[in-house]
Amino acid sequence: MESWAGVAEDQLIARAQAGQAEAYGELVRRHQARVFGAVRRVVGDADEALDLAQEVFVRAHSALAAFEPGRPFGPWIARVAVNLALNWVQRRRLPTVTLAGDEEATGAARPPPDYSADPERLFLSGERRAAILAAIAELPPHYRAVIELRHVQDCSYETIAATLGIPLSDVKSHLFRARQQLRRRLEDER
Amino acid sequence: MSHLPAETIERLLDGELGPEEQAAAEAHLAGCAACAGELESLAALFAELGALPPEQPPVDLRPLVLARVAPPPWGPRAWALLITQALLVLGLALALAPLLAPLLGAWNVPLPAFSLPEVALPDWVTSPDELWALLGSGGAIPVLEPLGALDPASWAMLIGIAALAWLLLNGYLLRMAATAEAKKGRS
Repeated sequence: MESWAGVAEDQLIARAQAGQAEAYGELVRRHQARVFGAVRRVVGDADEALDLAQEVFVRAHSALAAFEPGRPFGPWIARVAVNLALNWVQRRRLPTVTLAGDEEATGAARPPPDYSADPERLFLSGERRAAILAAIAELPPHYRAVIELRHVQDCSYETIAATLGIPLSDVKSHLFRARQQLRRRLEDER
Repeated sequence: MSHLPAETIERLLDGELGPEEQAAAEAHLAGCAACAGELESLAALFAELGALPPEQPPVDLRPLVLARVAPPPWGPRAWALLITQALLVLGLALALAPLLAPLLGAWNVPLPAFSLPEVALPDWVTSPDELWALLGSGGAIPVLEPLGALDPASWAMLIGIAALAWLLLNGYLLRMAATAEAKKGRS
């Protein structure tokens, strides 16, 4: 059996496009955490997120033939995931649920501010992470989607607008309001 | 002293300000503690949001996704098995047909006598015989023979064809069942 772990992503995509299911399986393995996390943050419910994450990969497989070689797969499938999750939530109008797990508090320290274009990933304590996820879960679905795309998936305003099919002005206003709500909610937590 | 709009501070953090706007905003921030504090607070939020880690799903999605996008392969092994089975069945049918033919002949169910229905024939056709002649049967009404009248070779062929049809249908059904099972298997 061929080992896929060392195969470059471009190669995997090319092989998957040629019909090699196992190559696509490796792409799923590499990106499932990103997709599941994005879907769960937008949808809220872990069981539904699991089903939707599968659906994301199935739909992406259908669209794989049109995928341009050389493009990064991860950001693309993350956008597919957020879009699908948002559509699903809006169709179902799910009640807001908390994403906070039962992680134990480990004593959160406030991270230093850093607004460089490519900030290093900070370590979030379990408690702080749960608080952030809970605050995101309380946002309206379209706010959750823009927060996910901008802050977790690093999409530009234009990419968010194209992904969600909304005007650029809506992206800016959604982001602004979502951040205001998050700040209020998280400041209450402190 | 007026302060920077909150939206401007956010766009600065997002890297979405033009060069002139950015320069103006940074000049303001250098001399305004309130706006600098607002920037710091927002930057902390941005950093925390950006630090949300990927989340592994509770189960590996690979087999679940592959079961939906790639049905179980119908590869060379499956074809070899099917062809081997088909040849065995044909061989058995040919070997057993002489033995089976007399037994199967006992099923000789006489076909019911039938006659042509009374139909209104065109004026230029004077009798049913003439109609058959016109249709190319040479004037003789064909008579269907009961199964028992078939010879062993015909029986062998009949059994072989039926067995092949069964095999192919069975293979198709198994394949469909495996695909359906794989789709269901995500739970």
